[in-house]
Amino acid sequence: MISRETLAKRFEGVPKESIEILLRNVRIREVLENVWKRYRAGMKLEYDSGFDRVFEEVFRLFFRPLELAISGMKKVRLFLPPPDVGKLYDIQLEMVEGYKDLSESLALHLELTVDMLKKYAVPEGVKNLIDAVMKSYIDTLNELSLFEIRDIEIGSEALFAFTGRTFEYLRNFLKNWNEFVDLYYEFRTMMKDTYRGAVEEFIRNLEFVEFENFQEFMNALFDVIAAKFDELLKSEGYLDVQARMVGSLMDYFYYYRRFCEEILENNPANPVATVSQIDEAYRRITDLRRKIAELERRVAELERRVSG
Amino acid sequence: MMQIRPWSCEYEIVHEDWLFKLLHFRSKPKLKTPVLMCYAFINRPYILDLHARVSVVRRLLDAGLDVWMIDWGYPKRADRYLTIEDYIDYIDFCIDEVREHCGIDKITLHGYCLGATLSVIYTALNQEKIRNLVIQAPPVNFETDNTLAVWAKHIDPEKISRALGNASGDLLNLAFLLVDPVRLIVGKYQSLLDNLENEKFVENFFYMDHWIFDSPAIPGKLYEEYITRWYHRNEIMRGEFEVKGRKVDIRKINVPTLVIVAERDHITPPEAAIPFFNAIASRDKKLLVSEKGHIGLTVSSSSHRKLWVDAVRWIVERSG
Repeated sequence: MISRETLAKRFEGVPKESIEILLRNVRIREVLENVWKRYRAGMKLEYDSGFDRVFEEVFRLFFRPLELAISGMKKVRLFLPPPDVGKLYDIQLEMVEGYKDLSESLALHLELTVDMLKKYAVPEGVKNLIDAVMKSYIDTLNELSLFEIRDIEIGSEALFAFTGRTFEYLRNFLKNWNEFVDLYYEFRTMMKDTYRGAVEEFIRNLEFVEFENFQEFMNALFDVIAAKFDELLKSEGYLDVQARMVGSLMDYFYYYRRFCEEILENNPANPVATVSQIDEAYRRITDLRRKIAELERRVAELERRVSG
Repeated sequence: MMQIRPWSCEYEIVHEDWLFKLLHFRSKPKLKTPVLMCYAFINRPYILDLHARVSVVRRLLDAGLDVWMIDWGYPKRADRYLTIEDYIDYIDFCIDEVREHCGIDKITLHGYCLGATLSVIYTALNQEKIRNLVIQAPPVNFETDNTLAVWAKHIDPEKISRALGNASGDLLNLAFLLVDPVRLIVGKYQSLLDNLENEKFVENFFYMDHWIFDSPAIPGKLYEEYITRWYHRNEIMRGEFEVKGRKVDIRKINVPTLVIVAERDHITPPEAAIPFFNAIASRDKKLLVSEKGHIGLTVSSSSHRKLWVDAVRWIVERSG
């Protein structure tokens, strides 16, 4: 068997999809040649991990983009604030307000102490200096606490700055993503069960047939699998799952995009146009192009008439 | 390193409209009536001129015909609002260009796959500009039970175009492969592994694969219309399809018509074309049936030995 490296090098200029499928077929053949050897040696065949490997090699191309959508969303979730963040801000706000109260009490306490000192212990010439230090201390304290508290207050109120639609899109994209994940596993299970059923049927029937060579053996196996898939792919159950899976994936994409766009479009400092805004421009340009084409047609028609 | 260079015949771009192009193949035609080829808006039109050994374009040129071709290009997001009407309008524009260039009133319109569907619509509305209609693997009746048609009836195209803008080439490729995953992913490539020493086999294989995976997107609105109006509602066969308020009535088509179908076509089975063939009013009509599949019809050596000889003869006899 020619090596995967040699094949990849020989067919460097061909489509990447072709290379991937070709290399997967090399692996499929390696696995099945081992199965063939066991069969030829008179060993009883069973569905095993080798057949699982063949399944993966055949269907990775289809599963990969769907699994990427799942793992991509898992990463997106890391960027979303978890539900407890709002509560965290509230707790932090309470804590800072407590600290502010404490600071103010401390300032009052200092004021009283300084008053007593001024009255009983400090010479007349130093009193003005003590007043100035006290005032500066209290001003600084107020400024600092004001800044910190406002920052936290804004944090706890940020969610109110989002539009109602933002939350609608958020709910919709999470709902559709959850549905998509469930349906994807249902879809995958249907494929796997069909494949496994076909392989087991092929193995059961081995005692009634004989194969001259590996080629015949492999072709017969894949004929059985292909026939089972012909049935599956047109079955009501499959059609329903496929349609809902594609629908929920597309809705997840759409609502996720709209969620991001809603935040951006409502932020006056946003420096970029959203896809929906650009789409609207494309729609208008297409309409204008149609109008121009129609005008050009009419002008050409008039010119033809004039020239007789 | 393997080099794949489709397009074996030389051509010039006569007109370019951002996305669409009108191509004119260089030749010294002997026959009066030019042929305008209109390929599908799925995949690329060079399947008709994939390489010299299996080029339908070359066959037509060698027969003395003047050959033109519409290239629907690679739609971008900016093209997502194009509709079937825009495609029909461009066919009309190209036909007028060809008529003017050649100084004739009527041309031969040659449609392939969904390009045949567009050609049928155009012909039904503009018979005065069509001398002959040639359609290969034409989906006109969408009430068929092949897997692709069954899937199309179950999907919601608006969800796809709303999410992606266009129906992307990758998405379409996966759908076309998933229709028959075992034969297309395993059977086909295992036979390549068995024929690695056969240079001609390998070259043909990768020319085909290059074409298969060179998939343009379908503009979102066009995709919605194509799935909803053709697959879900079968509007053309039912006489309900309209273009700018004009009803498309295939029963009124009476130009000479050649219909080429493939028995093993899993995309456009013969049932997608034969009801059309039976419905049209043309007295001069012919049905050619190949034992090949949707693409083998065009690129197999056996098709070029027999089918295309007959098809080209039919066209030539009506192009003087």
